[in-house]
Amino acid sequence: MATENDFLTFVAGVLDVAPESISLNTAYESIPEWDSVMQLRLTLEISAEFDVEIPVDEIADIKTLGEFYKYVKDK
Amino acid sequence: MRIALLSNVTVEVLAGMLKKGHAIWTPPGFGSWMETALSPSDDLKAFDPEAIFLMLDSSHGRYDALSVPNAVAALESSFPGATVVAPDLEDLADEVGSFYDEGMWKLGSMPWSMKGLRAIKTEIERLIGAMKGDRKKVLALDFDNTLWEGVIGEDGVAGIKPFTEFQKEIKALKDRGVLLVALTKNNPADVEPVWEDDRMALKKDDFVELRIDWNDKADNLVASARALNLGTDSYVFVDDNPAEREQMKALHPEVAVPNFPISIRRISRLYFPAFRLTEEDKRKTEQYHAEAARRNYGAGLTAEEYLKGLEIWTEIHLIREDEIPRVAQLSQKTNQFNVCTNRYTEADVRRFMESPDHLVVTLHAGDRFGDQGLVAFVHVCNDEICDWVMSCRAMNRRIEYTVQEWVEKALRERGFSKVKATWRKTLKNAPVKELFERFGFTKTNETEETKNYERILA
Repeated sequence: MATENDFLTFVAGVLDVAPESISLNTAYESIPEWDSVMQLRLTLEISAEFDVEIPVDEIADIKTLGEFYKYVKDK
Repeated sequence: MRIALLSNVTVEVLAGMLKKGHAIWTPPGFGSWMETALSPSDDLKAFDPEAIFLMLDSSHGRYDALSVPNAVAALESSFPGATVVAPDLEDLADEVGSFYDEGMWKLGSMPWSMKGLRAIKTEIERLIGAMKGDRKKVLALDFDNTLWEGVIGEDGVAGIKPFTEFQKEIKALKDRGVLLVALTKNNPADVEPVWEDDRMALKKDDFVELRIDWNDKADNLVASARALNLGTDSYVFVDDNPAEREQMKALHPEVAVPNFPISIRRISRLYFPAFRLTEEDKRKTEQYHAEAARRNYGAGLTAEEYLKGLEIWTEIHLIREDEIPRVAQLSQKTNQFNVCTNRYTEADVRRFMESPDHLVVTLHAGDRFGDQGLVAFVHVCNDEICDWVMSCRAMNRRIEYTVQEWVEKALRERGFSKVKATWRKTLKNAPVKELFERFGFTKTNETEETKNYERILA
């Protein structure tokens, strides 16, 4: 299983921000990089990278990186 | 690179993925790609794209395929400095698999899966490489069971079945500048009658080189490359025989050897992307035939007699609007007669043309065997020659002296009393190592990699 650290490093790469600038508490629209388009991209990138299924109807409810990480952790 | 993405679906996610290496412009909303193509917004004009990609999706989005060429032509005319491409996403989807994501389509009008998006990103990067000159020039073709079904040496013309449609598509590639070379193991006498057959869409004249014998195909490919003055890395080799393909791959990894069968649609997408064509592109096969006639003519003559008998003519002038694509293309493709090997986009060339500090001089040449088109350009910035580039097919005809005289005269008229120049070593530009010495320049500095020169303009 991917550690929290692996996950955040990967997500930082997608967001194109420094890994230390984000945490599992980072919330949707709390940083300029994470807008609704990025929400789609994060879903796709995380699903592909960690081989997890994120159901489309749950995407709108994901508000923090921790909630994305939950899918990876629970895999 | 400055890239504009026009589409009939949402491309924001894709744009986000490309942002790291490029500046990306996307239109507000989607579906307005045709309107944008026909009357570009001021916003897009201000962005000044170097490449415009029409990302047209037919799986979920709708568009009229017949209108695409019009859109491309309209964009090319509004943005003369940009390369406009509509990547073949259907063929890419077919190659990659698992290309689409229904959920994403419902959620954000974005049809592609992560796998699809990554493939599109790679495709775009590949096309950008091709725009910078990284592309193939020659399609080398086997005959038996590749251009027709059957073995002509055994079945005869009557016994074979030409793949007429396949051949027509190959001919279309040829018509936009791809050179065709026959690379086939047959008795030449067995093949000869096939050219008379109506079922053959390809005719003998469509090939610039016919290597029909029992030699090793790898050797024949090298010989053909030498005859055409091209690198073997410009070749794509298509053969139904896996043993021939494997041998070519082992001996010449730089040659592209796709699996067989393969559609011309895919060959076209992978190796010969259709960008804006120059006049020189369309007439390329003709020009290579003229070149062969020249070589035959030269046999037995001294260099002096040969050059005199060719009746060479030249036309030299400052660059004109319609020459921009060809000058960019020459800068991209020319490796031998190229003193500094700067690679330019059409936008770069346009900038030089419009700047009062730059001078771009073009040379058109021809002889009794035909018009060679725009074969050279010289780019001067203030009093320094930044580029001296000439197509290999115009080399060894001493016309560079005529051009240099013209350039120096133009500089004198602009009030310059001396001109500087540089030669920068590359793997392939040895032919111009002494160019400026021949022009009468004085060396001011020399290292292993560069030489600087100067010449007083009398």
